Amino acid sequence: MDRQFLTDFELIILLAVLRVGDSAYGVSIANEIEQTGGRTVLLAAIYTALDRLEDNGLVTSSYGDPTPERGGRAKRFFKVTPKGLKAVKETQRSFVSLWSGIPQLKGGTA
Amino acid sequence: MTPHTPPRLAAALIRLAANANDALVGDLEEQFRSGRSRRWYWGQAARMLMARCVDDQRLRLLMTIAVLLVTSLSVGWWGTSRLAVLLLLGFTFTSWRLWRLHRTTLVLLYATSVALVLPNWMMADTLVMSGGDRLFWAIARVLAGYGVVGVLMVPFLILRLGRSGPLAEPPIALSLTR
Repeated sequence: MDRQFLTDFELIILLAVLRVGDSAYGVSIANEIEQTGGRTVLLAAIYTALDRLEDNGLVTSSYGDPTPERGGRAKRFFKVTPKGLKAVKETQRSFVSLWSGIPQLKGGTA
Repeated sequence: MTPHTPPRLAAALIRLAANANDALVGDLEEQFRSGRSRRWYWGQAARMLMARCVDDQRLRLLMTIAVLLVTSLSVGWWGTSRLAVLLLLGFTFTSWRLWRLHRTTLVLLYATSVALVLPNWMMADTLVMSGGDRLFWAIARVLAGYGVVGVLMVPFLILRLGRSGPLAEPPIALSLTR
């Protein structure tokens, strides 16, 4: 069954994958979220969300070559699919609609 | 063991909790080798194991049975309950993760536990006990009550956990300054 909405964490992950680009794998995604989003995340949680996104066709993954600094294990690279990009845009649109017209959010930084 | 080699036991626990996700195990090793501390690595292992215990149906069943057994020991045999209390403390600590996800449930659980053991406590002849024994007795009874109620609450907790998932992240804290 296709998902209609993204959770906040799934949205963060998709944005991080888009920001990192071709070299998006677990560590680089976590670093991007940490540096840009200002929060630390559990790597296992990132993979859980990415697996869910892949099941829904919002990202695809492929394996790189095994490297010694990873104990001979390969990196798993992720890419956002056109469907994923569409989901991000729709979420952005709905967020912007929700944001607009709220008196409390106008004219201040607090 | 060199400083750049992950702790063996933690690495084994991570492999167990990762459930054949080699990319995740590799990511953690890469991060450790690039300068993350042993404490960070152990923390990842512990959190992954905890999540796995809640997520995996068989492990959850085992934990439920263990809580039931330990609770029976604690209530039934005073002599062996010192070990039981330690184990129950462990379960209580593990359930702390629930605090962030299901605060109301945990508060109800603890409150009901205390309500269940309080009458028993008031009727007991604690005056003949030493100070240490009295404190220990009180902790044992409260934890035993917690265990009993916890077991009764398991189906409800499973239903609630099933909706959000044990690895669900708390709401985001947006930083306006970055």
